[in-house]
Amino acid sequence: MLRGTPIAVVGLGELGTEIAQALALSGQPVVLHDTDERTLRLALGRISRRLDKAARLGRITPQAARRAKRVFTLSTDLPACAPAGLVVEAIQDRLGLKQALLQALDEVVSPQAILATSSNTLSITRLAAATRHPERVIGLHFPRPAHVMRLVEVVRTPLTRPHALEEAVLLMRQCDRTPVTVDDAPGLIVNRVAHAYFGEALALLDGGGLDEATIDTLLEAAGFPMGPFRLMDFLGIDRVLDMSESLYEATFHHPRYRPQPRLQRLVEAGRTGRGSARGGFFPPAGGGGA
Amino acid sequence: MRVLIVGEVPIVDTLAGLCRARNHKVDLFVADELADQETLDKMVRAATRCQIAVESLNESREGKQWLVEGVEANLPGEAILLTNALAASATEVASWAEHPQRVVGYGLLPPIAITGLIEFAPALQTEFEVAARARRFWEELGFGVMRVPDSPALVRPRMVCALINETVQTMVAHNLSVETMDSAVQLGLNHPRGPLAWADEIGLDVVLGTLEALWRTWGDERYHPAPLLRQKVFAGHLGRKAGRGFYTYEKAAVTGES
Repeated sequence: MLRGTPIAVVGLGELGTEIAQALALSGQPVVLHDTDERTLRLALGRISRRLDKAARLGRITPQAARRAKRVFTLSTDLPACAPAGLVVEAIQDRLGLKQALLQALDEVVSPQAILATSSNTLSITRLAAATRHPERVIGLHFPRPAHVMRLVEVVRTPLTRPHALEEAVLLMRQCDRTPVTVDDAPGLIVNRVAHAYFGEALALLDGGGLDEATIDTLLEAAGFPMGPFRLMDFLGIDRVLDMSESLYEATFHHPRYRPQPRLQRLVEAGRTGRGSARGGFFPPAGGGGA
Repeated sequence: MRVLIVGEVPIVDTLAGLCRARNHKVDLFVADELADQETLDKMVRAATRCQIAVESLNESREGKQWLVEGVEANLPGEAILLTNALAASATEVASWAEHPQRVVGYGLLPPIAITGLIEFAPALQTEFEVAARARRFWEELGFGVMRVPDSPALVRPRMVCALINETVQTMVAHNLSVETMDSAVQLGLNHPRGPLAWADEIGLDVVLGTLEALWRTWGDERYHPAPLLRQKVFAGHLGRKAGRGFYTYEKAAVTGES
């Protein structure tokens, strides 16, 4: 992509904000679009604080942090994305909403621009097929937290033109990411393996005689930075359940990917982890119990 | 103490090293070499005079049963048998023994961290005294001992082999290279090592033997071994110990291979 060609991020929720931060390392200008102005300002504040922190911890240079902060433009108008060479959408993971957005973007940006969806649960092919230029629609799956993790799954549908993939791969390298090109298949690669990690841990609980802390301790002693239960609490149990349910649906109920009732119970109980007041597998930090 | 160690590399080598460092007298036998009658006789003689026998052979239940029966039947009355419970639970292993009460399970997977945790799983038949002796033995070798319920592959071997299985299937489905697949798991999930490189360390035959035990026990689809894993084992590409698995290795020892 030409130097100076902007990248746009649409939808500045948690995921969109993390992605925007990752893309800021590309050196390209980054347009942030959300329908809500306050959301945009909050996102920019969060990115700015995280960049400062990264610089303080020596993860990036202070110059890089300063440069990254200067690349953003905020806009509540979709046409502000028009000059973008790549648009990454990160709005709510619902098929109808995403389809409508991609169709709208399809009208706004040039036919050469790449449209990327960050969904890791919906079929990218289905989203692409609903647009007028499906050959330029790809998936970009950023494992969470997106501003920290190095991997990006670049998703190819049966309609994707190779050039769009190649360009996206180069751009991800420019952001200091390691892109892997994968086919649009349920769970791509990361979610499949993540599901095995979580699913096996949950199955161990079902076998009886073990608790979450024991399993976590054993795995952390084997070098895993977070045991499966701490990790599920960190990512959000609701998200893990969503991922698991969509994997199961997308594989036409392959028994290998059957979701775990235990997760459903916790979500119903409001114990979704991620700083929830009710905790998750473990009680919330600062005691209180669940 | 006189310790008999028998089974697959690299586990037996590591355990032998730890035992020697504790001044135990070690008789070490690698499973492959037991095909030779003379070595087998020597192993049986070593069994008759040891106080603790440590077994780790997990490439199949049949292989494990053959070895356990051969060792246990020859142990002196006071000796105990520690079994790495991957291809069968400690309780199943004990069921093959003449004296099931002297069998205790443990769970270790390469690479073994010296100061690491060992999973410790008495069988349903294990006598209390025997379990206590086994626990002391592991603690003296420097392990933290974590008691877990006895079932095939216990906790970590089960988690890791299930991860490897899913990784192999995913790699095949997406037509990815071994290196790409491993680095995707490391960079996308922060796993400490690529599952395929880890499989090579463990031995693909051991991974297969473990998955088969899980499949047999739980009947859950996710333990159904990936066809590629089985093919690799058929081909003798068993991992680092064979010089070739998912990756290729320089052979450390000079062999007669042309």
